[in-house]
Amino acid sequence: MTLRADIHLTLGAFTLDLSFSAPAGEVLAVVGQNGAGKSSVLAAIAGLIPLQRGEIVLDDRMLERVATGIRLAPQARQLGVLFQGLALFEHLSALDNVAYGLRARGVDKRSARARAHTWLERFGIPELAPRRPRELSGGQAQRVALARALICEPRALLLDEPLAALDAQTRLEVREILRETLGAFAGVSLLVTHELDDALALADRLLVLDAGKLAQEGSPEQVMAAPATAHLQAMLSGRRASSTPVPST
Amino acid sequence: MKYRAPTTGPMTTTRTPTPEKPPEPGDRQDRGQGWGHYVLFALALVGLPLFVLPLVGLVTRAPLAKLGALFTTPALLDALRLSLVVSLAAVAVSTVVGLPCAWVLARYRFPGRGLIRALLTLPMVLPPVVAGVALLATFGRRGLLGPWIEWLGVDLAFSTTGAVLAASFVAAPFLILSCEAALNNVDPRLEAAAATLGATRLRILWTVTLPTIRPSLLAGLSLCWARALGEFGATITFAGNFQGRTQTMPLAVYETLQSDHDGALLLSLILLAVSLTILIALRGELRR
Repeated sequence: MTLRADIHLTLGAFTLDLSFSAPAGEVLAVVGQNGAGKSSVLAAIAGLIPLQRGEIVLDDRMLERVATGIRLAPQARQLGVLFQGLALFEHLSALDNVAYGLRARGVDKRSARARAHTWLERFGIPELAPRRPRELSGGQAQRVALARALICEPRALLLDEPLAALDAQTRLEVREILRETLGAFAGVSLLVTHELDDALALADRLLVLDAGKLAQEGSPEQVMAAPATAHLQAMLSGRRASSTPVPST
Repeated sequence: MKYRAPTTGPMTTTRTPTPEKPPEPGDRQDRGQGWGHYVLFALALVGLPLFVLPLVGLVTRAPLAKLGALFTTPALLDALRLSLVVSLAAVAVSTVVGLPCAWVLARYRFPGRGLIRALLTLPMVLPPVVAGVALLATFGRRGLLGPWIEWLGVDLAFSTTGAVLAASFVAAPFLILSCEAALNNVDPRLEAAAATLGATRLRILWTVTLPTIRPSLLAGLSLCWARALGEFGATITFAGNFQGRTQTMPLAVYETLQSDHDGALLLSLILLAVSLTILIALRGELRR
């Protein structure tokens, strides 16, 4: 199970050119400043914005290839997406949020809810089933969103800034949830973040994106040893100055 | 990026320095040296009776003793039935064609969009009698589409269908405007999330978009219904005033007023009760 992407697209004055491939089980982090085009990478792979050139292949399945006019709809790509801000459905309970993907694929209400319940149990929150998203804490909402994305057994998991806008306490909690979930996930995980710290803690490999172009690629150690962009250097020096324990080094 | 040791929780906020100027009791009154707010207060005192007294007048002057007898008059029963049928049909028409209009305006960018939006909302500010004349000039027997409509065998002008058309024409903009604004504010990530979870576009509309705009949809529907229920000018101009066919409650009130003052008061009271019921039933949704 590998993900191979060759993405070329233009959005207004912004151009994105990025090629990479990732083997199954790998956690790949796309790091860069705001406006570097990170979220567009995810949106392109998810099929939410069209490529202008290139292709996206997942395993032996062609998701999109501009040259031959192949373009699968987001519905047909079998990807799990964790959106920025989670995008939970406010009018549905946690249980029905998780069950949504099954219902959309024609599973009847009772079995969909039963399976959603086992997913909530897997994340240790079965008692939250009847709650509305606005009644959940940051960590609980993250678990619900992950369960919703994973219930249809996606071939790859795309995570858009999963740790943005969380307070310090919740962030550590959510990072731990993500570490466990991504570790157990068999397919490719693609994580987009502007925080180097989160990428270092969660990813096996980093893609550093700068103004729509690949600036650096490598393991967390390699990127830390020789950061290629000024933004990364600034984040790293801030990191050394602080007293927080550094994971994995 | 600086990292700080995790704070011990919300308690730390008590350590923030006190503001330079401690708030004084009555600060708010003392600050206004002018007399501007007295003028506002006086104007509000004028406004209150202006808006409320007429309702009091209607309720107190209506001869409630005659109310029972009124409910046996066929003209009133006809008007009441017609009002409900026509206004509900107008809401249905507005929903079926107005909601898609709102959706297209909110979701697509095309040349002339602003103009089309202006044209769609124009009936809201147009004098109703002008709306009626416009409808007559278009759907009337000698109107723009008259020959085609005659060929189809329908008689729009001076029929219940015509009354529904007139009410829809003036009431639909309320639904279109409130739904368009709400559709513009729907977080696109919600619909994207549903799409990646495998939901078809129709399913997304039904299970995500519409539930998300529910408060605005209900507010729009109730305003639309209220406007249709009170519709007078366009109806009497285009559909006429025929008992049992086009004479809705407002038209019945107007006609009754010429001969039977008490009857008109009672009919108005009934309309007031219906409107009040709508308002109370929807108060939670409208306040949002």
